[in-house]
Formats: sequence, C-alpha cells, structure tokens
Amino acid sequence: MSAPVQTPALEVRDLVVSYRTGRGPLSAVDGVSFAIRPGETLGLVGESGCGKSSLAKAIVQLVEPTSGALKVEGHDITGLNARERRALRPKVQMVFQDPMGALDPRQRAGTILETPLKLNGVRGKAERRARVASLMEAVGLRPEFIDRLPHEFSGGQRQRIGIARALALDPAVIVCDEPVSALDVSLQAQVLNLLRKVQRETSVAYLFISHDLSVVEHIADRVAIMYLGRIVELAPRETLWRAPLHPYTRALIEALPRMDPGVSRIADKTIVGGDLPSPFAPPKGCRFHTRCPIAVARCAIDAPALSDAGDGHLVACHLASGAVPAPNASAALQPA
Amino acid sequence: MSLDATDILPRAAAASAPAAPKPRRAVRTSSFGYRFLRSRTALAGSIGLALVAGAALFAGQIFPGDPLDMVARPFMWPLTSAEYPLGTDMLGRDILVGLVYAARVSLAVGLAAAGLAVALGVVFGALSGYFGGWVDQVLTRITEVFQTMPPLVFVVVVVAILTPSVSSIVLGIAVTSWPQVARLVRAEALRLRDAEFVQAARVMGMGHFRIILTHILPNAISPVVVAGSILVASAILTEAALSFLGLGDPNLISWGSMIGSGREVLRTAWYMTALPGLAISLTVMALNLLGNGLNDVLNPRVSLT
Repeated sequence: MSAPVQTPALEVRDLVVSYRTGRGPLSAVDGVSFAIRPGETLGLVGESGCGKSSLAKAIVQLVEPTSGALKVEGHDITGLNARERRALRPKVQMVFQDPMGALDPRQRAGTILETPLKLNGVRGKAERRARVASLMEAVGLRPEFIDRLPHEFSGGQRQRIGIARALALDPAVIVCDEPVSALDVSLQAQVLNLLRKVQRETSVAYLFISHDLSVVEHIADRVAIMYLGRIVELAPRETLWRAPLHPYTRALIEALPRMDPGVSRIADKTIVGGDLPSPFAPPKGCRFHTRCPIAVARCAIDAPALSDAGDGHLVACHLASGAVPAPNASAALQPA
Repeated sequence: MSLDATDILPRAAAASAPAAPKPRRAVRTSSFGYRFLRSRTALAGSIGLALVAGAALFAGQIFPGDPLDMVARPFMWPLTSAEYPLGTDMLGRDILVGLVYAARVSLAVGLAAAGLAVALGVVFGALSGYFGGWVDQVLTRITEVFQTMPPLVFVVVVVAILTPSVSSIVLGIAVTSWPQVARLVRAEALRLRDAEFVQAARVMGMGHFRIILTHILPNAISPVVVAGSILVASAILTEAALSFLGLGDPNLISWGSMIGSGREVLRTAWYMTALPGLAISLTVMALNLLGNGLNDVLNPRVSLT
C-alpha cells in the first residue's frame, strides 16, 4: 500500500440491498465493500443468484440500497437529495448484458447516442453531432451507421453502441454487467479489447461483472469473488489465479476446462456439490459451509470477516492460512 | 407485440429480402410504407375506408342540397329510375344522398369516439403499467369500474342524460370503450418498463415522463393502432344502434336512423333497411380489414406475400 493516496473512482462500503418479497425480506447484497481506482478494472465473479446484478443496479441507482455508502469520486450518493444525485448520475454508467435489449428497437444509432448528451446539458445540435461522431469513431463504428436501427447491426456492433452510449457522459465508472456473455467467442475478444482501449484513453474505472472467470482473467486488474451476497475473496488477478485462498474460489478455478486432460482429471477436482442455498434463509456462520469441502465446526457458527492475507489479498475464510483480521478494516479496503 | 394470436410463422425470408441490385438509397424492406403496400388486407381496408371517407368529405359537392328534402315520389325501388339509382324512402327522400351524408355522421362519431377512447386509454394504461404499485392499483380499479358496465346500456344512459347530440354520443362511446385500450397499453408498459433500454435511459438520468414518451409509447403503439381501427368500427355500430333506438342526433341523418325509420316498412320496402345496413357492414368490414392488416404490417415477424 505504498501507492499515493488517490480518490477512488468508486467506493462501496457495507452496502446492503434487500428486497421485500412475498416470502419475506431477501438480502441480495449483504454488506459488500470495495473500492476501484480510476483506470482500474475490478472483476466481480459469482454464480447466478449471488447478488451480482443487485449490486450493479444499486451502484447505477436503479435500486435503492437499504444501507451502506456509495461514493463516486469521493461524493457520497446515498445521502443526497434527488437533484444532487441526478448531477452525479452521469459519473456512473452501465453497459448491459443483452446488446439487443439495451437499445430501443425504434431508435436509430444517432438518436441513441445523442440522448445522453441532450439529457445532460449539451445544448448545441452541432456540438452533439460532433460528439456522437467522435464516440462512434472511438468504438470503431463507421460514421454512415448513424442512421441505422439496432436490428440492422450485428451483435458485436450493438454492444459497441452500448459502450459508446455509456462513454457519452465521460463517466468515472462503468458497470459492465456481463457485457460479453451474450456474444460469440470471437466477438468477446473484440469487445474486451475495445473496453481496454477505451480505458487506456479515458482512464475510466470498470466494475466488470461476469460468471465466467476466464473472461474476467482477460480484463480485470483485481478480482472479487461473490457468494450469496458477500465478497468471499478479493485479490489482484495474478494472486487470485495462482494462489486462491478461499475454497469457493479454488473450486471455481478448478472447474474451468483445461487444455491438458492428462494434468487435470475430474477425479482430482474438489467438486462443490449442491446448489446455492436459499437466499431467504442463508446459512448461519460462513455462508459457504454447507457446500465447503474443508468446513470445520467453527464455520457453521462464526461468520468469517474479510481479512487481509497480505499484499491486498482479502479473504473471508477461517481456514485460509495467513489470513489475519486487518487491524484497520478500511485500510485493507483501499486498492493496493 | 402482444397480439400474437394472429402471428403466422415466418415463411421464407426471401419475401422481405431485397431482390434487385440496391439503388443509391435502398428501400427499407422493414419500413412501414413498404410493408403496408405489400399487405393486401391493409390495402383493401384502407381503399374501402378511403371511399367512404371521400363520400363523407365531398357529400356537399356531389349532392348539393339537404339530404332530408323530399325530392321525388315515395317508395321508389332501387334501380328503377336513373335519377334516383337507389330509390326513395317513404317520404320521397333520395336514399343515395342520405347514405352519403350519413357517412359523415357515422365516420365523425367513429373517429372522434375512438380518438378520445385511445387518448384516455393510453394515459391511464401507460401510467398504470409503467409506475406499477399503488398508482397501478388505483388506476386499474377505475378502469375496471368502467369496464364492468354494459356498454350499450351505459351509452344510452349517458346520451339520455346529456340529450342526444353528436358530442354526447361520442362521449358515451368513448367512456365505455377506453378500458380496453388502457388494458392493452398497461400490458405493454408493464413489459417495457423492465426492458434494458428503459433501464439504460434511467441510468443516464432520463425522467419518468420522458421515458414514457420516448421509449414506452413508441414501442407500445402498434397494438393500439390496431385496436383503434377496430374501435372506430364498433363505435360506428354503437352509433347506428343508438340512432335505431331513436337516441341519435335528430337533426342529422345517419345510417342507424335510416335503418330505424325503414324498420316500419320492412315487409313492403326492405331495401330502405338493407341499403344503410349494407353501408354499415362494408364500412365496418373495411375497418376490420385495416385493423388486421395493420396487425401484420406492424409485426415484423409476419412476412407479407
């Protein structure tokens, strides 16, 4: 933690998102904290139903967080009134999963890209036109595509429009909610490379959500693993990949297909059986203990805190060797 | 689109693919105009409707004079006189002139009532579907109150209270038919409000009413257009029924009032009832054809041959 102190582009602290449902309250996100530097990509990985999307929606203010703080470039969103919040809104933008669904089928590309500018005070028509043209160029779309309707584009091109739209307002953070999982593998790489290129040019921060570790490995600087509403491990990409500490992370990495079947066999893998427990009644203690291959008695009683195992590697597991509770929890949350 | 009952499985995509080498500005095969011209039902319906509308608009030019004037011997059968091709009624009024003038009243009532019903239904449906929650609860209950009333009886009551006139008839019909539009729009708004492009609009800071105007309504409008053309047809029928019952505007001639007065001599001169009846049937059929045709035209999954 020798890096100069820098205001994080996005800081999330003890964020809780719960819904009132017919079956009682549901905590989709239950006390999540992290911070992202400008120009950094934090990958967020978890299986479906773990609260990734709720976290994303809370960050872009599509759902109201139940408690906790959300700071964008140091400004806390949660305590603000509607008008102040609206002013901060352009700072956090989103790229959606389904590139077709995220574009209004009746609007032309030019209109789609012009709308955020119109809404946020770019008054001159010529100015907007110029900005739209530069946005399209930035994401590699030909200028004559400006009058096309979404269905006249390919999937990859649509996602480029989605990215251009998110960029239109010069955001500090873009939440990418599975931006490539609806695309062909060949297009995934293109879109990921585009996201990286954009990041180099604008030093925007990404929260990159995915259920696919190999995609996250490609783009993220640090990776957070989420399980049932909580972050169980957060580490720089290399560290997480080479030395995962949480049994859930290990299981996720081992579940990836390998190129060499001789080295890795199903029989050698720690298989995590069963399904995600019901989020209406999450297990007591460590939420993972019901499926954990190495759980001990303590795990069912005592919930492990996210603590520093050295070098900004945070893990929430009693059995992770080297993990000691950080003396100052907030210091541990700062990006390394 | 919610009107999938008439959805046909897409046939060969060739129908909508451009065949000829592309000119400089290629015709959009997906455009409304192109698809409309390819749809035989929509074309037939709109031609029929155009004829009726033309007759209504130019009635004064084609037949100057009052349609209620007695111009010839009464009880002249159709096709017996070159001067009065459709004959005369029991008071010696020219039936052809009557039919043409009556088209004015029928169409005006149909269009105005459908327009008012669509306006009311779109506002109620969009607000109720988009906002959900208690707004939806309240608006849906109000909609149901109007929907549970038997339409014709309710219109009769409204017209009887407000005295028979074109505007009271329009109001009565609109008030009883907007709930179906409201329910249609509500269903579309409910579907669209969770669409990712609506979420994207909210993320970029667009207000609710702007979202409704720029994203919800343009995407919900196709079934409303279809329902609207059917509504015009049913409003024309309702107006005819009212006039038949003697609750029409007494100063104006309409198809319903012609049927109503012809009823008394049905056994001796059935043509006095049959001719305006035929006019109603043809107009309503044209509107229904137009409605069904538009349903196909506006549904991009139906290929038109």
